[in-house]
Amino acid sequence: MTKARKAAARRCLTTMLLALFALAWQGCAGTAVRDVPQARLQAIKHNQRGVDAGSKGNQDAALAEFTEALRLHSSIENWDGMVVARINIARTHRLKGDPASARRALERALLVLPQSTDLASELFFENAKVYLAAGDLAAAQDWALQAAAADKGSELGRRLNLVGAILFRAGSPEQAREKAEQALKLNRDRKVEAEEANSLRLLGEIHLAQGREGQAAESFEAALLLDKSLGLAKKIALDLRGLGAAALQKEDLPAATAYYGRALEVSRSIRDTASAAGDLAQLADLKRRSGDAPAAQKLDEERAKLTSEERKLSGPISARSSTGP
Amino acid sequence: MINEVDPRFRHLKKKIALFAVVALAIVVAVILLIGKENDLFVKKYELSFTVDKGTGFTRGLPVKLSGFRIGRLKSISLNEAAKVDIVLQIDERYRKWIRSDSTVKLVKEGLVGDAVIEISVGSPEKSVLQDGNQLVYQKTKALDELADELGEKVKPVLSDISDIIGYLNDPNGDIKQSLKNFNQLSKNLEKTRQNTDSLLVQAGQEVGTVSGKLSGVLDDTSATVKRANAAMAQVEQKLPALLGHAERSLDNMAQVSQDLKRFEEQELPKVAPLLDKAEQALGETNSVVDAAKTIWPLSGRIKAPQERQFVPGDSHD
Repeated sequence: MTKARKAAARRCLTTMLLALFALAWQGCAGTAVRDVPQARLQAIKHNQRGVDAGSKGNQDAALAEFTEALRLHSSIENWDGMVVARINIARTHRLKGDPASARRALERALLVLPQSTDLASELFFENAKVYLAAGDLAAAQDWALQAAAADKGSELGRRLNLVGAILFRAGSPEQAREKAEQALKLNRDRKVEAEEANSLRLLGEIHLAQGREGQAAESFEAALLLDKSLGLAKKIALDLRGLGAAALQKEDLPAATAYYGRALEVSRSIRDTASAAGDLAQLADLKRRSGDAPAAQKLDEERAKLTSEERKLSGPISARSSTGP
Repeated sequence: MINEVDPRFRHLKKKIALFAVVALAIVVAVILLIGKENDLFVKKYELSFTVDKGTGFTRGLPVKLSGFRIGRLKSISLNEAAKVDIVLQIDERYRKWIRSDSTVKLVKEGLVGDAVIEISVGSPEKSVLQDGNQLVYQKTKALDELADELGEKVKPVLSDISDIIGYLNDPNGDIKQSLKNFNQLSKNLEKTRQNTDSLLVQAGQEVGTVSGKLSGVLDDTSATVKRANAAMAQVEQKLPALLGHAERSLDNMAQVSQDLKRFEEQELPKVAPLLDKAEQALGETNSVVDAAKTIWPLSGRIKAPQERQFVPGDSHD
């Protein structure tokens, strides 16, 4: 064997030993999976399936999965799991347009909420959403503030957005603005883009209500960019409507018409009939203001047709639209 | 001259005295009888009541309880309120029956009988009425009031009867018109009968013509039947072959059915254990996959199941 061959064989052996060492090190460094009880694993799977079904708009299937998850968690007295399942049940009921059932689920969750859990914030947040959906702004504000106070930091931007939105609806725009700006900063710092867009949209609405159309348009534009990047169609339509309202406040009728037209197309494409009907009404009003009565008449007829078609189909408009993306 | 020793005047004084005693005894007996009849020797007490009208009440009117006479109307007078106060005199021995819930009413004994005051028997648990107490008067309807009431009830019936008679007599009403129509119908029926007679005569004449035509039709029918016979003959020729085919098809179907039955008997019981095994295998595969997920390098790439996974809860949904 020549010297060169010996050196090559040594290099090869060294490489193999290093590779073996690396493999062994990787294997040992992996996290040891704790032995989780079968019932708990099954419950987690049902919960996961429920979340998946809900994201596809199949709320009934989601409820069935969450109920099964709750049963399994209850069988092993896993309090955290029970609270999670009940929050998900409540949220699904709320999205189905049934705040009464949602409230019942949350009341039961509050009864089993462990003292030393960080789930309280999410539970209070959902309570606030349920009261907001039922139109009880005082109770909603109370729960939203509790949710923000109980938050350990990870979701504070989202909690503050809700507090701001409730304050704005309750007629306190200045306080709402303060909360929205806090939320925007937190969401930007933590790169929570969907909530950052929500903060911007809320700020846009507040600016618009206080007569600052320019700042409102900027906020809506920024929100639109984020929502487009995330592919959130319903939010895109909301941003476009905000931009349309800002343009309308500036008496820029062509721009307003263009924005509302874009919002209409987005709503139509996701079959959000109620929003589409609202856009058509807005567009008809704009046409009338521009002196184009025939076009306004046509848009009104289109809206009437859309509404009657929606009525013929099963379920109220609000219930269907609430299951959208 | 009158003889002073006339035997007819002998013991005259004694006879007069006897006569006077007997007469006096009779008078006393009569007084006693009348007194007894009028309850003059019975202890009495008084009860009173007030009525709106004193019609029908007279002094001495008998008072009865359960049909027995127990007293009489003693007095009747008009009071300050223009109402009539009536005082009854009741035998003491009947006091126990007349209590605070007893009522008094004026009734007739029969439709045209005498009027009497009737007192109802009181409840044993109520207190006995004392002398001078008031009774509750229960108003009864007088005959004229009953007649008026009856008249009011009969009036609409009479009115209805009058309407019905008017309806029946109305020349333009349904009944009269129906009778008129019925008369007309009877007349028309007679005409119809005459027409039918003439029609039957005509029919008899035309039957001959029709029979001539019928014969032609029968000829045609005969030809059609012949053609049908020919067709039937053809069918008869082809039918055995067709039946043979049908029989073979049925045999095949029976064979298939038997095969299916055999399959069901032999193979179907194997399906359930197979499914069990498949489920078991699937479960084991799941276990293997779950175990594999925990082994490097997959463990780093597969997310561990998250217990706290929520339905997305946007602040602006």
